[in-house]
Amino acid sequence: MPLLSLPPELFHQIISTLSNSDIKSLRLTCRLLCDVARLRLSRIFLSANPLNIRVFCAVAEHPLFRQQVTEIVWDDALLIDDPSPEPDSYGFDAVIGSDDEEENNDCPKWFVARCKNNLDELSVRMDRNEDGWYNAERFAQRDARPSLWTCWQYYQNLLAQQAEVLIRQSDVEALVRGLRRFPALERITITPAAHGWLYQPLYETPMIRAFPNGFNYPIPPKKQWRGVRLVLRALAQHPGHRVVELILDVNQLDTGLNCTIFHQPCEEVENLVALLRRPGFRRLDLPLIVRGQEYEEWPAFRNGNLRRALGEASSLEHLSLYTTIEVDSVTNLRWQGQQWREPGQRSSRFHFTSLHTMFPVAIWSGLQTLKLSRFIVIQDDVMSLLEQLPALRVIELSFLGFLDNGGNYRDLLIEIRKRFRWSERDPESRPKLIVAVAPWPPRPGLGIWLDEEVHSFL
Amino acid sequence: MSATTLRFQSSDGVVITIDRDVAQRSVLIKNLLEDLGDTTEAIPIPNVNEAVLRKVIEWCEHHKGDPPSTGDDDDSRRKTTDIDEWDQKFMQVDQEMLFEIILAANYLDIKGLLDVGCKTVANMIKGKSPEEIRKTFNIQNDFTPEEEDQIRRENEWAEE
Repeated sequence: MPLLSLPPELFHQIISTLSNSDIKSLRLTCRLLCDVARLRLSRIFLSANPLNIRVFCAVAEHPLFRQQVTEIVWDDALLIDDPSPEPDSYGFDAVIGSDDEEENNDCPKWFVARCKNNLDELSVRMDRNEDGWYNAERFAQRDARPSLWTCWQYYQNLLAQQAEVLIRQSDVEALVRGLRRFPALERITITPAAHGWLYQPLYETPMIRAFPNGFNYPIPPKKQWRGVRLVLRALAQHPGHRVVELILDVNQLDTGLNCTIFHQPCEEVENLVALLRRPGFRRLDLPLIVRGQEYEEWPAFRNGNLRRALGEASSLEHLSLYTTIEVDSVTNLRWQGQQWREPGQRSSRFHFTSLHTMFPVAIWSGLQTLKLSRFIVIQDDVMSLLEQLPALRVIELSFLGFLDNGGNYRDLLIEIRKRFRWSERDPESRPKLIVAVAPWPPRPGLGIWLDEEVHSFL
Repeated sequence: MSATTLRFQSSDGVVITIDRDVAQRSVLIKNLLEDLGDTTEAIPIPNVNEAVLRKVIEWCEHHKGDPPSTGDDDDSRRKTTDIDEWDQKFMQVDQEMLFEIILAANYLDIKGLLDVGCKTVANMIKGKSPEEIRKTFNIQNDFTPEEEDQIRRENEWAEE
């Protein structure tokens, strides 16, 4: 009674516990197993890279695989081909001076400096052993790394390919094709952080998977959002798609879409509104770069454009809204003597933007997940927001800054416990509250998550 | 008061007596008993021979105290291929028997046993190259070189 005679449903149960790499091996054993062992290919990548585009288009043309794709991940990072003057404008010579590989002299200094910087950061991260279990893998990659000259050759080729894609806009063209060819497509994720750290990408795109072992290169800056504009435009111009989820994934980094797009009407916001308005649109993850708003009465949040946009999403089930406000700024405001006092007083209005100013809670009867990070709040306002969203099952309130006399985390949690009595509900229907606070000293992309503690407290 | 033991007849005609609560690990039998009510006759199990049936009963006896499984799709179960020690030993049988046990567990609807069986097979596949898998399960490579190339290409499209 051989393996091959098992009925397909039992095969599928066996395969469900296997990784994609095991499934790949199974597919290569014989025709029958190739047919039953279906590759997991629910998400597909796009970026300004011909390999990613080629894979994307091949899947789009495949009669079976194209029907499995539910998510497009747009890797928005562009490789840099010029040193920006900022972070390592000093110490180039010192760095190069300590270099013993002579052939590196043929690489541009900025490239060498970035690569060395990568390795320094890698050592720091490995020393901290933040996620120790795969340090070994990174050691192996570091030790196998090709010479910088080889890296530079490879990198130059990537740059040339990228330039050609950008000129021809072939990534956008592929995207439009994907919108037509992936009938199960529901989600578009746009991320500037796909490359992550050296040897630790956030998304393993075909391009990244194809890097030579140990390849060292300048990790692209995470500040570009070319993709947002292009994706939103494509979605607006080709409304035949079924996309109901838009995720801007910054992986907790200090970046996002510049909130000034909400200052006045613009194409991006209009296209976003057109998407939110679509029936069944259910998930939006929107990180916003907020700089200096705290010193000018929060125009992006208060002028009503954000609220109007969100107000179109009447079937929304999941909203994540993250800002880059440094919670320290609350302290800075205190130093300036600008306290929140009593509602109605002029001085209180200066910094306090009621969450109701941004969120059209009345139409969100179906909102199940609300994740807020880095907002300046007062406790009463947070409570009143939660009270008006009875369907919530997952709530994140992270890195909040409480204005003076506006409460604090401790009191907020006590009030939530008292008011909502979640512990009295049966465990299945109990809402989950996620709280993260900044570590000290603060480190980009890192927070301390207190789910367990909060859960047992509530 | 219903009888505390039940009699079953395997496909090869052997009658085996089992405790009622052990037999009821099988959802098929549990439902059957609900329909039949009390019976003293041997219940035929046409798809399972004596050797396999005895193995299945051994498993059910060991696991009779387990809490009943909840829900159909437990994600944490799907992600792991950990098997407890007793089950691992229990599954150290030849491939023929292993697949017979899986089929019997599927037919008799014994979810826990089916899970262990499938995980055991998954563990025999894990981390192996295509050639090693072929050897393990005695599979013939029936691809043309062109087909193999095409599959390799397709494999490149998906994440690891």
